[in-house]
Amino acid sequence: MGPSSRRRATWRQRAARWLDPTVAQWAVAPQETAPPPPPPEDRADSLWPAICEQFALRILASAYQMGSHLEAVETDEQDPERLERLYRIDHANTRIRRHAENLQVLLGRRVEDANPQTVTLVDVARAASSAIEYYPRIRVGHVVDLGVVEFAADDVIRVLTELLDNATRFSPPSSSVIVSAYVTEDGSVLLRVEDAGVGVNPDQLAALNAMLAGNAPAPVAVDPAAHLGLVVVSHLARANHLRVSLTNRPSGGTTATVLVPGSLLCEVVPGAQRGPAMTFPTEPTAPVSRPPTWNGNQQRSAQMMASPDNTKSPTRHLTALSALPTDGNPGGQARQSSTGGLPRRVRESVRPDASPAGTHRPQRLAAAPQHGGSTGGGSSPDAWPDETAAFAAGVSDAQSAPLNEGHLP
Amino acid sequence: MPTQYWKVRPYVLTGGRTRTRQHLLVHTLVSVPYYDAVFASGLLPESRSLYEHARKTRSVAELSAVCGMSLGVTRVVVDDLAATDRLQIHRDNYGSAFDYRLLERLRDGLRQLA
Repeated sequence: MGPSSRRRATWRQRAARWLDPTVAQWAVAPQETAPPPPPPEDRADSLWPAICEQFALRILASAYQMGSHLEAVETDEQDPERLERLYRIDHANTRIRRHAENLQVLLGRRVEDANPQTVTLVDVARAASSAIEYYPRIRVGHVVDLGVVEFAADDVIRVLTELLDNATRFSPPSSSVIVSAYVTEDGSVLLRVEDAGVGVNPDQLAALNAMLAGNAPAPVAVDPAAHLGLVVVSHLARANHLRVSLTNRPSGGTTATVLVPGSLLCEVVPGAQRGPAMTFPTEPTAPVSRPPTWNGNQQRSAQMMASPDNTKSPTRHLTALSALPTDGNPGGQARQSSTGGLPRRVRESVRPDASPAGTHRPQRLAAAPQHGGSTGGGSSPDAWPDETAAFAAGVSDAQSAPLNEGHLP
Repeated sequence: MPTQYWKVRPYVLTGGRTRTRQHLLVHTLVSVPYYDAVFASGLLPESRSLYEHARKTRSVAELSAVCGMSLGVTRVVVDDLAATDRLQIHRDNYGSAFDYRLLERLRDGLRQLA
């Protein structure tokens, strides 16, 4: 592609020029700094989402591996100094994982979670704060004792992560951000993220809320860096029927609310919610082994990116999940059996034979067997004594607020 | 026995802190002077579980194992609870590693295992 009059540059020089534009000034002709992937236009464009996805999956796989190694070192570490450094590495690694997952979301892919399980709302809040930069400023307020079902848990965590990230980023560095969860009248749960920042510009607020509700296109074209987190939120909210909105508080600051429908919630019995497969996934088999599904996915992602149509996208997103095992991919099935006897309700609730059009959504699930089994209480030596649990349950709503303000001062 | 969901990273449980106000050894004994169920219900899960389990006098290492937390997290949580006087840390100043009482406890522990 270089002009023939010039001496041809070595591949090292070309690579250096590509990586560092300043090199080109003294190396060779400016005409030669052509974009690196020039070949047939349409084909290259259509391949980009799949390529990006592949890289997202590889990053995820590396992040999982690094996480498992870190976890092993963290548990053995006795020295506070070194432990703190390990925590910083772990923190960075968690953010890498989050960004790779978000990339997949933006590509319109369903993020296959390494180890889906029912997660309590407290853990949802804390898992969400694990992946943001200023996590020490998060305070966990009153959070009801409910869990999010396994197929939606990680998406709710991702939504909350982005909202917490916004809240901490756009509020004074000394202020804290409070996350809380309340039951509403119709059995759904309202997650609230309150910050003490400057608030959102009122006319921008309307546009953002419209985007979050799926009624307006994402303003990515204007500024790719702005509101990227909220674009992720709107994708996930549409896929899981969450209702996300932002409001300015009269006292200053912003409140972000997420309404988690009752169909995504379930009861959690203390001490029983942990399945057999709780160890950190050492081998992320599924993401790596999944073959690229070029055509279907790229169309889907194109539509999700382009059209703000909120009646189509959720079902598309869900059928993307249900279509996975039929892609000729044994990964999904293999992982089902490997996660130990947990019932795989995800696959049942989003079966391919369900009507693809219309408002198919995951139904409210009956109490999971592993939860129902231990409601008798006292069966395991580690469970609470019955009277303590009953007392604590009765008392938890009447207690005073300062007790709930998260960790002790 | 609560083991953390793997996406909840340990640094979040302690707010990034790893140091404690007082030196907590693996065998430092800890107990709850008077159990307060209302207080327990207001705690976060791992603090609560630790508070519940410490009703019987236990060592830090034991609590870490029983609560399914790493030692680093357990130390900070114990320290936080102790700072509010809800948890009592029993200081026994062993003069050396060959203190008579320490060796006695070691012997008793080994005998229990055998």
